[in-house]
Amino acid sequence: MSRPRPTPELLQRLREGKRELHAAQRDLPLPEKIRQLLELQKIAYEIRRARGDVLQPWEKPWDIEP
Amino acid sequence: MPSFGQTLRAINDMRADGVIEEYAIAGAMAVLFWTEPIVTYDLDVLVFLPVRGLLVSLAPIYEWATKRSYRAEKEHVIVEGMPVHFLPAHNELADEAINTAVAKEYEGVPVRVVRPEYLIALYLEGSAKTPKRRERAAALRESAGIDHSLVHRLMNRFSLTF
Repeated sequence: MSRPRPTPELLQRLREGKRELHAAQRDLPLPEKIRQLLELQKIAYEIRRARGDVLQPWEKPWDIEP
Repeated sequence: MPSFGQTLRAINDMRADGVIEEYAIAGAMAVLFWTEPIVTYDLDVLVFLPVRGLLVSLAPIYEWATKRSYRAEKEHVIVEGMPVHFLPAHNELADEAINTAVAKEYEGVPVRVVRPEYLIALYLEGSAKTPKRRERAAALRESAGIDHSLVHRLMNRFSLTF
């Protein structure tokens, strides 16, 4: 028995939702983007450190406010 | 605690003090002005240095930083908590990227940002083209508001490919 697949309409709706999300992210105020960047830095830093990546001294989350 | 606005203010001071002639924010921090944020740990700043002989020297930048108690970490200067990478314009494409930069504001602080079309072109430059940079160029190309004909012209003029 073959696995049921999403309909083209559902896939299109999902893709549109993703496009809308990206558009909303793009249009955020700059301070909010900086706040998100600071969060992304913390997440990426922890992942890279746990992975054992060799990090440059400056490759660490910034201790700043947006 | 320092802030991004304070870093931008310091860079504007640098221009006012004559340490640099002109500047434009480039790299991932410039991308943030045009589309979604992507992870980065430094701020790239393309600069025109005042002409003082035939050789390009970053010494005046480091001297200025020392006077303001900003420490250097390898090739970066830590300006108000942010590692800043000053890149003297290295070719005609970089010159144009600075000259055509867009004046924006961040929390009331004026800032010049490289246009997205020039960011794409800079990402695709031969020696600098890595998979990560190609990916960033592609993401920018797909974002709204891009002047595709300008991207096309830049790619032709500077012999760039994806």
